[in-house]
Amino acid sequence: MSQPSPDKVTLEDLLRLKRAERPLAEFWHQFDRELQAKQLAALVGKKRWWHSTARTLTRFSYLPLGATAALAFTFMVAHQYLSPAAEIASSSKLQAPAAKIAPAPAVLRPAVAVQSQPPAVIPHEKIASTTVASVQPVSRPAVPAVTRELPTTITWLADTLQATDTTPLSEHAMSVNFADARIDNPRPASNLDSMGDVKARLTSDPLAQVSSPSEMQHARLVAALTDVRLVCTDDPVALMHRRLATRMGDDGLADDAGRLDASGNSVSIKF
Amino acid sequence: MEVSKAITKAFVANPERQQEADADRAIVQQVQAGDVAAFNRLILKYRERLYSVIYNMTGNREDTADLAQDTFIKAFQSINRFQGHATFFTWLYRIAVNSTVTHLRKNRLRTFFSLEKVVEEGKNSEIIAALTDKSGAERDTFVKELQEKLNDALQKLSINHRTVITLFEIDELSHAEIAEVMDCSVGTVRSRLHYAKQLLQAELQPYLRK
Repeated sequence: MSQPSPDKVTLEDLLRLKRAERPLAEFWHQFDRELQAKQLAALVGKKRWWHSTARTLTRFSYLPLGATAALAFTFMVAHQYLSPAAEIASSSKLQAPAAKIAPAPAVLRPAVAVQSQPPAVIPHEKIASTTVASVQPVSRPAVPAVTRELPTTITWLADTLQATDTTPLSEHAMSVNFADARIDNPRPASNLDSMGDVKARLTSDPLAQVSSPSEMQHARLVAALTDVRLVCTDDPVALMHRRLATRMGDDGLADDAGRLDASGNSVSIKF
Repeated sequence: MEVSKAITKAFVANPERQQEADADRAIVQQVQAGDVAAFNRLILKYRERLYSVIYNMTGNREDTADLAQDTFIKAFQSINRFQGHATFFTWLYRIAVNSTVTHLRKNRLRTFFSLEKVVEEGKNSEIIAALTDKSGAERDTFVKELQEKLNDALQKLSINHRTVITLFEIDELSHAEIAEVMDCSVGTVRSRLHYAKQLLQAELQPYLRK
């Protein structure tokens, strides 16, 4: 260090003065007392809950949390979309009115008897339920009503299940049934409209007279389906194949495929 | 353990510092073995130096006392994690500097200074005599004014520059030791030191005589 002289004072000399700023001896007694008290407090002080939490988390930090989350997400998505039975069950719970209007087996007209009876006006509920009720066995009465507002994918799966369970007799009976209805009234859609009127007359609740958009859409879909059924005279298996081909060619399938996007190491699903 | 000793030796070039580091290591091992009272020897050994570093960074006596005590508490609580990769005093200094930097960043808007009295002895008296020929109360006033001016100049530096200049000029640590304490390269330390000195010289120009 340079020796200070009256003629020369450097920056280092000035900073040396800072070194001389020291507390008095009394200060250190107080310092020691306070430090001892703090040491004791630190020794007996309770550890907070987040200390143990942080330690636990760091202990398991080797787990690939991102991969675990991705796996859990994939499992949830797969569980949701690959179990139609669960979907149908949950949907049937949500659609209690539909389940109520689903006819009991006794309500359904037997396929053979249908031909001899005049098929007056078929109520909307009956048409809706008959569409699948004739396909499904009696032991599964809730399924037909559910198909009304299911998503496209689930409807497709339900239809596939129906097709596998379909017997030629029931398909034929259903066709005959609708053929009778068509003879009486060549426009099933107008039947549906008149069905709405009957329903309005029968119900006293004014709110029940208001048809919801979903019911109207359902009516249109059923009308289109009945048209196909009435015109069709093919083998049921061929009909099923045609329906499958039609659905696979739909824009909906392209839309479903468009929801999946794979780029790099990630797969994104649009909802 | 041999590797850590080699690293420590690389940083401790001074033989006196090496002996000091070995002595500290022995005390630390005693504390780690359960001899809690041995830690008091480390407190007595380093409290003034630690206080000086923190004081020159903060410029406040009360904050310095609290920060120095907290530093010793933290060191005591985590002494079992000290593995000897560095010397004990650089490890302790690192705790102190980190605590002080955190404190300064938290209270950057609070600028209250309380300065210690300058102990005039030996070379300090000669420096003051070189700066002023006054005596008595006028000399005390001059010293106080100079002290405030020095503190103001230091506080105008950034925290990193202030830390470097404090550790190098006031606490006389080497570049390598400062680099280890501040967790940066020696080149960075030199650069910061050069820049800090330039700023201080500009600020303290009226007191410098060539």
